[in-house]
Amino acid sequence: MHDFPPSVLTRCLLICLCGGLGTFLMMPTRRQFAKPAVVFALGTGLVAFAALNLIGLGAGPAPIVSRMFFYVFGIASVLGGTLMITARDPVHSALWFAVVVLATSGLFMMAGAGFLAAGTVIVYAGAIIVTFLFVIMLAQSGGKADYDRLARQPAQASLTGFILIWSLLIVILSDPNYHGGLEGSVEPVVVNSRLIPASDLVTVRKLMPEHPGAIVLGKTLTPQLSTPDHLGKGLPAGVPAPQVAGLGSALYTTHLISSEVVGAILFVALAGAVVIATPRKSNSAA
Amino acid sequence: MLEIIGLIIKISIVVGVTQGAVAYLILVERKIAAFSQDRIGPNRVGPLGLLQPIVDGVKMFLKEDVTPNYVNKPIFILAPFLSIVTAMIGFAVVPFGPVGPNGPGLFDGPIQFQIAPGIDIGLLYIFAVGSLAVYGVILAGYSSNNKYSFLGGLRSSAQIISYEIPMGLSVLGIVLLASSLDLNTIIQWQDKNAWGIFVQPLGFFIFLICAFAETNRLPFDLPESEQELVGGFHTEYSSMKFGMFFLGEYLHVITVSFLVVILYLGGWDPPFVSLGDSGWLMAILKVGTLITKVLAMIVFVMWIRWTLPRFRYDRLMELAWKRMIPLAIGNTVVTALILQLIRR
Repeated sequence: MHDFPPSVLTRCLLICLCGGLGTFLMMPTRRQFAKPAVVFALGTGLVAFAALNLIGLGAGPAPIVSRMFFYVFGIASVLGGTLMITARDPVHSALWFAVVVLATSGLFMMAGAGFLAAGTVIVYAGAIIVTFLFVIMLAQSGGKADYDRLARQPAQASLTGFILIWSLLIVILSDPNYHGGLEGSVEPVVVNSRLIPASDLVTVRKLMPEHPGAIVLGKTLTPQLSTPDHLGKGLPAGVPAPQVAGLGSALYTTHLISSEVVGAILFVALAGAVVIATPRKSNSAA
Repeated sequence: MLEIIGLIIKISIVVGVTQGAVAYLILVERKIAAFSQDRIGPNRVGPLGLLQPIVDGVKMFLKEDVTPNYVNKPIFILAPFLSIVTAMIGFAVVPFGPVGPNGPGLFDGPIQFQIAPGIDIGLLYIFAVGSLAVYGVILAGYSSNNKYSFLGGLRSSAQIISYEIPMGLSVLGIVLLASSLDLNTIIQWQDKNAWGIFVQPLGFFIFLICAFAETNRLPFDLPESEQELVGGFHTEYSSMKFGMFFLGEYLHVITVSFLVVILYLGGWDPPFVSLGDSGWLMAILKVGTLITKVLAMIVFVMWIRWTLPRFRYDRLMELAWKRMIPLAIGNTVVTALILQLIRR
C-alpha cells in the first residue's frame, strides 16, 4: 500500500461524488419523462467535471500517438458508459454499450492484450449486443413502452455504482505496479495480465515517487512493445510473439481443469438451449 | 514521425485504391452480367464503357437524398457509415505483399506491404471486425421503420451471425497447420509447404461458401431479395446513402477475396515458381501475384452470381447449422489428430 497524499484521496472522492450525482440527475425517472433542461445540463456538467478529473488522475503512455489513442479510447468508454445508462431509447442504450465495448477493446489492444481485445469484440459487440438489439426491436413492435424508458431506482443504482468505482480507484492507485497517478515521475511499466510464466519476470530498479532518491528493487514483466511503437516496422527479430500462444499454453497446462469445467458447463448450457428452443411436437398435435 | 507519415500514406493508398477499385468492379460486374445474358453491357460512355463508373458516381452524388419523415433519423444516417467503416477497417491487417525484414528498403528500413504488420492476432482481428458488419444492416432495417426493411434486416443479421460460426471454425485447420493467426506467417507456411486449398480442401470450401454468405451476394442475397422484400434493408435509402451500402458490399467482396487468396490460395506465392526474398523486383512480383489472384477471385464471385439461384430461407439456415458447422468441426478435429500423429 502506498501512503496516499491527501490530495489524491480528496480527488477520488470528488470524482465519485460529482459523477454519481451527475449520473443520477441525467437518468430518466419515473415522475417525469423529460427532465427540465437545467437539471439535465447540471448533471451533464457534473459528469463532465468528474470525467475530466478522472483523466487528470492518470498519465497515459509516453509516445504522443499512443497517448492520443489512449485518451480517445478512455474518453469514449467513459462517455459511452454514461450515455448508455442515461439514454431514453433502449436501442440507443444498446448502441452506446457497443461503443463502450469497442473503446475498451482499444484500450486492451494498447495494453498489448490483443487476444482479449478481439475476443471482447467478437463476443460482446458481435454477438451479445446484436442479440440485445434483436430482442429490443422485436419487443417494441407496439411502440415504446414506459418501462423501457425510465430508470427503476436511479438513486440506489448511482450510489452503488459509484461506491464501486471509488473502491476500484483506490485499489488501482494503491497497486505498487501503478505509477501513472502519483506524480508520474516513473517510467510506466507494461503489466498486462497475470497469466504469465515467472520466467518472463525481470528484476528492475525503480524510483519511488514518495521517497525521492530511493531506488527500490521490484519484479516486473519483461518490457514488451506497446502496439503503436512497432506499427510501422513489424516486430524486431528476437522478440517472441506474445499473447495467443502464451495464453493457450497457460490455459491448457496451468488452468486445464478450470477450462475443461467451463467447457463442460457451456456444453450443457448449449444442450439446454436446444431443448428449450425446440417446439414440442406432441403438445401442438394434441 | 517518419513512421507515422508512412503509415498515413499507406492508409491513403489502401483507401484510395479500394474505393477506386469498387467503381470499376461495378463495371466488371455489369459486363459479366451482360456476358452471361448474351448482351453487350454498358458501352456508351467512353471506349468500352470505361468511363461509366465515373458517370455512375456523379449520378449517385447528384440524386435527391430523400429521408422519409417516419425514420429514426440519427440511426438512419449512422447505418450506411457503419456499413462502409466495418468493411474498410479489416484492411488494416491484410498484407498486400511481402512483409518481413528483407523487404525493399526505403528511408530507414524495409517497406512492409501491410498497414499494421506484426499484429499477432491478424485473423482474429478480421473476424472481430467482420462480426461488426451486421450493425450496418440491422440498424438500417430497424431505423427505416418499414416492414420490408425490417424483415430484410432481421434475415440478414440472422444469416450473417449464423455463417460466422462455420467461417470461424473452417479456418482453424489452416491456423493449426501454420500454427499462427498472423496472415503473413500463414502465407509463408504455404510458400514453404503447400497451398491451403490442397491441404485443407474441406476448410477451403466451407470458408468459400461462408464468404459468399457474409458478403450477402447471390446465392445468399436473401436480405435484399427483390421479389419478396422490395430492396431489403436499404429500401428507404436513396442517393449517396444507398451508394454507401453499395460501396460497403463491394468492399466486402474485396476483403473476402483477399482472405480466400491469403488463407487458401498461397497469397503472394505464385504457382510452380519460387520467388526470392529480397529486392524491389521480387516485392513487385509478389504484389502482382497477389493482386492477380484477388482479381481472379473477384471475377469468380461475380460469375457465381449468374450460375446459382437464391436459396430458400429455411434451407439457408439448415445449410449453415446442420451441414457446415458439423463438417467444419470434423475438419478441425481431423486436422488436429493428423498433426498430432505426424508430430509423434
